[in-house]
Amino acid sequence: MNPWRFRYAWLELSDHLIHIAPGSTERIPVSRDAVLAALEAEGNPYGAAIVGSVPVEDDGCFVPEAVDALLVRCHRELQRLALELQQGPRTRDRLIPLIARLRRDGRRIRIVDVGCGIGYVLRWLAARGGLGDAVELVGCDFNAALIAEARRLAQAERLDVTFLAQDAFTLDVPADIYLSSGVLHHIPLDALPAFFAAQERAGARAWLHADFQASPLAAPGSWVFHRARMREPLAVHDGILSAVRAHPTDGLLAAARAGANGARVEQLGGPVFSWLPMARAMHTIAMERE
Amino acid sequence: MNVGFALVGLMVLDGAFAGFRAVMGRTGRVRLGPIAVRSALLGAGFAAILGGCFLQAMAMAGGPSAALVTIGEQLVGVYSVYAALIAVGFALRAIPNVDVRTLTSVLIFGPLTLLRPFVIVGGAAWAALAAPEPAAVGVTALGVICVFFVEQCCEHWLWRGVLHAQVP
Repeated sequence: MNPWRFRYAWLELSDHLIHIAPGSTERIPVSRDAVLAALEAEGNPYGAAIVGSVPVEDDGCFVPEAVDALLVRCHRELQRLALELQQGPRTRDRLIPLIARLRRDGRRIRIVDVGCGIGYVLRWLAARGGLGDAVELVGCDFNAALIAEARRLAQAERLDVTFLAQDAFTLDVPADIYLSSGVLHHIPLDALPAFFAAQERAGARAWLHADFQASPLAAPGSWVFHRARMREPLAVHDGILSAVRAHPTDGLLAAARAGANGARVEQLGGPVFSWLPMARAMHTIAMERE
Repeated sequence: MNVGFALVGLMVLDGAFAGFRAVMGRTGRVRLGPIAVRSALLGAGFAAILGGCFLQAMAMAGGPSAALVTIGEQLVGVYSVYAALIAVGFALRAIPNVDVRTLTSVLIFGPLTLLRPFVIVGGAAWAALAAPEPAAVGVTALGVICVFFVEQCCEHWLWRGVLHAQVP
């Protein structure tokens, strides 16, 4: 896979393979021919080769169990990205002072991870974050297979995290802090204000959304990272594409401010060193209501 | 024979890393410690057995030829530089700073893992040029094949055959 050929406009294969009915968590059958046609229209030969090998039913739609198993394997591999980019410690370091400020009333803080996948960041926080009883950790994702795997992994390591296959913004008990990791680039830039506004409506007091930082080095850097570490071609493809699809920081901040209803919004994690024009692989768009 | 022991030492180290890599990205767990250590030890052990057999066969054949010793010395030189770079990466990773740790992954471990097969093959080819005697080159090639064999065994057999059942 030539990283220079990847395009910002391409969709990740995981987004092609799974379609969820709007307003629910119900899966819609996805035709392989339709996905192949979409990939051809995008001009994505790598994606077409990978999707072509995913099993289909007699009606030409993907076998849901095969897609789920593939995505779980890929998420386990892609977890290495969060591990090696230190997403656990980075999130903890940002949460500790934030929780201290929000917890002045002594109330327990509910942290909800939006699009948590197999829930690595939350499970890391539960295992090593040292946040104690001050917080309740909840992970939400529309993909029930990923949530089932997250639950299994949390149970295997006896971690106190709740995982729910549902919309993070319609929980019975609202979140104090919303988190996400590698989710923002899945949402078109013009739809991001609505994404941030949904958290405002849900009563969030703060959010921390980490994602890849747009940079000329993102594509080749991501290629090196994923070629060296991933086994599944889909994980390599989507890993490279995630970095290529990173939204520009200015656009993200503008979208966040548009959705934050006047609350303070900032970027955390710019260049590694002030004298070196090399961005961190991931940065965080943060909001905190005064 | 000292060169032989040095090369087998490097092969054992490589086997340990191959064993470690075999579990990475497969368990989904946060706490990798015990399973990763077990996998690394199995990888190292397998490489040690194979390397030991190699040395034993060499001794039974009357010891290495002068050409093979020359190639071995060149190999130790190349592979030691690579091992030293990895060691620098680990030393930097010990610094408790998330940015430094990330940079070790991005700038050292990732690229060097990607380059590893080229370093192994390229280093052997370069070393063979120092003493291009067919028998010595053949033994060198066999050694290179053993290194890749250990990695493939770890990647395919160690996980599926041994460790998978130990991770519920």
